[in-house]
Amino acid sequence: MRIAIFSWESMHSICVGGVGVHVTELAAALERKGNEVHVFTRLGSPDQAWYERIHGVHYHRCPFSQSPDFVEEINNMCRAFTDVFFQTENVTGPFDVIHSHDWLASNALVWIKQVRPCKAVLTIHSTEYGRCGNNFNDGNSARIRDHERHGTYCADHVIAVSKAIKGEIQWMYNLPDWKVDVVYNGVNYRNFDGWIDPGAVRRHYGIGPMDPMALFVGRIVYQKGPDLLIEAIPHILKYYSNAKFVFVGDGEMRWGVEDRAKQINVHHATRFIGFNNGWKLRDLYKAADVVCMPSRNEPFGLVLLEAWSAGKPVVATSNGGPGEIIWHDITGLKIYANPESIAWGIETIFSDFDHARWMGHNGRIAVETAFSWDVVAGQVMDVYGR
Amino acid sequence: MAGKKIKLKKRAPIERIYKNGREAIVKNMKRKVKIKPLPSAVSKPLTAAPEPSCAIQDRKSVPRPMTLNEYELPSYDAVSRITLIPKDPLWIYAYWEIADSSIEDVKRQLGGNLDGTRFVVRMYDVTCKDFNGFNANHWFDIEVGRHSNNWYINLWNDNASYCGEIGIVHNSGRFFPMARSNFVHTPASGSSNRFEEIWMDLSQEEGGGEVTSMMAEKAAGPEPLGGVYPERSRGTPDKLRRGVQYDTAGRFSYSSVSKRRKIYLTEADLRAYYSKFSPLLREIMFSRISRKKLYKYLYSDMSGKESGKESGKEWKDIVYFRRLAGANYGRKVMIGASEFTYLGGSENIMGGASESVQPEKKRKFFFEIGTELIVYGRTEPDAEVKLGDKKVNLRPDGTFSMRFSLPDGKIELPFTATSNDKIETRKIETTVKRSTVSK
Repeated sequence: MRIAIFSWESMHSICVGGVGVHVTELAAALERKGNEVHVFTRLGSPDQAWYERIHGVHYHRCPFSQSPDFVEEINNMCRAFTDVFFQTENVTGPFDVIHSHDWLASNALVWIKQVRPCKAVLTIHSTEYGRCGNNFNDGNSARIRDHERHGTYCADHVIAVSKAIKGEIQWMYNLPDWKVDVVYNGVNYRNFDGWIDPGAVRRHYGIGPMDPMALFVGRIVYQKGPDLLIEAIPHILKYYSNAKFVFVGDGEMRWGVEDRAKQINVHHATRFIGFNNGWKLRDLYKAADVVCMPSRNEPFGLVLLEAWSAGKPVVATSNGGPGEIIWHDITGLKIYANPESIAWGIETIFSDFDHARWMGHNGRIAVETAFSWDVVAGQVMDVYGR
Repeated sequence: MAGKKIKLKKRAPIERIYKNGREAIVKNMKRKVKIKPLPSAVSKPLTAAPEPSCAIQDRKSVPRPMTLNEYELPSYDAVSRITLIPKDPLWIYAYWEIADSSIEDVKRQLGGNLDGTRFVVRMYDVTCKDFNGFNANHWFDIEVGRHSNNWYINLWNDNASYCGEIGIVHNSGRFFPMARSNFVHTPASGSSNRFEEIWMDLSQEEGGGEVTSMMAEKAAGPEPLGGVYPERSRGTPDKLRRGVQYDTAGRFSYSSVSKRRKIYLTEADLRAYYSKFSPLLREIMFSRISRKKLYKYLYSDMSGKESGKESGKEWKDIVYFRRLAGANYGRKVMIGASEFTYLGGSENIMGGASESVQPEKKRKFFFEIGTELIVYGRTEPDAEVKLGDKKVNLRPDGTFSMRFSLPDGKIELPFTATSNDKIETRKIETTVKRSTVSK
């Protein structure tokens, strides 16, 4: 099968979030299954080649002109994608499936579908409504929602990354049930194999080797709820005075959150690392005791899978993705997005480390069973075939 | 004594030696070396320079050592075996012998020759694991070649348990182990970072006497890396294991672990729960399990028929056989597909809670047949054919064929054909009877 994937980010061009990782790994997994996969994405930097073949996947990096209006710039990007797509088709022949990721590349899907008989699949990783904190904002937000609506209307099939997102787009964009499939994200758990000395990693961040350590990974924005975690810290410190909380990520709320930590005198127990997504982050996963995701809204939560790959239990919100995937008290703890619940979750973990380790181990098994990229690619091919 | 006298009386010659400095002594030494093979000549300069001569005299008294240049240890390679010895925290020494019979076994499996294969030692890191062949933490291969018989192996972690297998790996990735080594545990290279108390749960039978010894062992020995599993290697005796957090078999049903909760859940249950996310996953899980069982079966076959007693032992070591030996349920040997979904669910099927949680599965060997009936015929293209009173459609060339299901019982097929001008009719009646007897 010849598959064309359109995405505005990928690990081999620009990678800002989970979508980039998802696209790259999915493309590679589909390639392993014997398909011919072409990924159309942006130019990461001027010295990247416009065409490259990486791990068997053909990467086309399409340059396009900027625009002060973000949505218009994205339209330029989609036009560039379609242009390069047709050029590629002239060289290699017709494609069987076109697969777009998120609203950013949905226009490419719409325009190509108008003139070609390929199967069109759109993956929704998150909705504009959710990104705005469950609000229907005006302005560009409304235009983006229109893009999403039109993309899901035109596509033959829509893949949602969790049942929560499926429900959300169904009521928001009036999609029939048969059109939307749920395929969970995967994770490359092999990245987390290997033993490190957690004491050495912790010492690097000024944390004692025996302090219970909770890790928060994600953008420091309202949606992910780090402020809730900060509010919960005093309660936890009362019982575990040497507990430490590490925040990895950057965002608009970062300084506000740090100031709040200083205000309530818990700053000594917090560490703000900033944005990181390399081996340093993986070492932090392996060195932590628990990974906390107190999101107010979470479409899926790749951090969850990464924590499980590293064998750590997860204390995560029951909204959205984590709520469907975590088996409460077996692979993690499901909590509500308020400080008291977060405090309960983390204190339960700290009180019984054996159980926590057991839960982390179960998480690792879960990841190996259901969330490897080959399994996910199999499910995606299943959707292509429908 | 003689030297003393010389010092007192014959000062002059000694002074001479000293005046000449070292040269005199050296000269004397040189002379000694030259006339070494003639012992009689040595006695002459003995008086002049006593000290050097004493040394040489000592040498003379020792018999000349025998040199064995071509000595080799006898090899006894009727049986393949490999042994590991830890050298220091990061090095293990392995030595082995490969029996020709093992190589013949592998050749047979590969279809006659060893093309595209390499001799490797596969090292498995089995820290905190009850090794069953498949559940090592990680493994790596070292290519050693057909003719070497020992190797120094460099490791990445100290304080880890290792097991090795000498075998042949094919380019396709298939591995044919010929012998498995003993389990060794490398010492730790430094003291542990952990210094908190590790309290042992004494809910079991062990008395207080065990506690102190165990605590001492735990406190003294450094903890494994990663701080994840405080359990010791497979080599520790049973008593020590019991108080520790994790069961060695990797089972999840253990009573002494959680202070508050006893959770009976196996890996199989977990995988079954997570495979609900997609029907595809269930198939994948199923195929992965049956592959493992087949490899286990193959491996045990590989042990070789020559090592008769050993192969018997190998069989017993294979986990599911042990389980059968101790089974109360009278389950049969499972190679059939239907059993894998339950029994093979976990890597370690050491009984455990799954026997109490899951109901007993009877063997579901199935065999079904069905029958269909095809009737075909031909007549003039414009004729009319009827089966009973239903019209049968003819093809343009006047042929027809019909396909029915054929259940038990009697089926009557009365066909009537009438020519187009309605003058002539023919009738053919046929009856088909099916009776099924299943046992």
